[in-house]
Amino acid sequence: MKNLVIILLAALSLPNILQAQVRYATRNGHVSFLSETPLENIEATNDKATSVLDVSSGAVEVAVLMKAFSFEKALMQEHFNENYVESDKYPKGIFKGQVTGFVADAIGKPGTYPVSVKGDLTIHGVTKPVEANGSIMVEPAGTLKATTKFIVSPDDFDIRIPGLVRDNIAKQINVMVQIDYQKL
Amino acid sequence: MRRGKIILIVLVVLGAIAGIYGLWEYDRGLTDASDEKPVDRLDAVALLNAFTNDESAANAKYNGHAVQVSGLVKDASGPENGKMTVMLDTGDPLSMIVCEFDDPAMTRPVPGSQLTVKGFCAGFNLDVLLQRCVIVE
Repeated sequence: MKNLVIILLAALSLPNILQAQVRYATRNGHVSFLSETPLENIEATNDKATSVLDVSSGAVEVAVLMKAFSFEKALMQEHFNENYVESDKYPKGIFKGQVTGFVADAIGKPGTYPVSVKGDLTIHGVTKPVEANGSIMVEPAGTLKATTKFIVSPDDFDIRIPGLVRDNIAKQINVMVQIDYQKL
Repeated sequence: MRRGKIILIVLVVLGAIAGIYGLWEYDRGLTDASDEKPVDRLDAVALLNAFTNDESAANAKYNGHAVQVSGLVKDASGPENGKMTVMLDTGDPLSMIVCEFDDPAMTRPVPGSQLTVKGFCAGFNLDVLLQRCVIVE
């Protein structure tokens, strides 16, 4: 009877063992964006993105504080926070998605692996699907360096640009992500 | 005729002042928290608790405002991208008060030392982030 209980418990926990989570994380991810227009280029960077990547399932989540984006000029930063993304009301930008093209077997095999990522991006209280290509570099030390870039449109996230500065802000904003993951 | 000339000169001077102000405002850089009056003075544990207990209320109270925080230095790193980062211990192994300084040449505080900083709160994302910090004592 005792052996039967042990066998049953082992059988029940087998799927969990087989799908053991291999998780990587950071609290210093780099997210930047660039708006290019003939009138001016506006760039902002954020070096405090948090992210968790579950290599076994491909699930990935990235979160940034909107106020943590640094601009070259104070006026740009104030307009971004107060008028465009309303960071008092919507303090975080969050991406939840799935990475494909990278499997747990790749860990321990240094090299660069092309991947694609697909998921939902929430900014300004609006959630939209996002899909992008990127890469994950497995470094000899066992850390992962993930990079991707994609384009977002302020209109898609109900971010209204006043007419006076409409020509100064691109309709398509380039977003760059570079995250150095450490194993949890 | 003379009156019209005076009005024209006044308008030109006012226009020039407005233009200079506009340029100054456009080019204005980010300043640190030196001259800001903090909305609150508290220790690192209390600031983290404020966010973990009621993030919305803490966002409303602290985000975008200068906050003065005291605590023990857990770690310090940098300079990276022109910034030094000092982490204050909160007693929670997963969350810290992360203080960013825009001065890459500042002396790095020693872990375990007591520090009081003032900085602009950017919110809570695993850690509470303070930016453009200055050391108070």
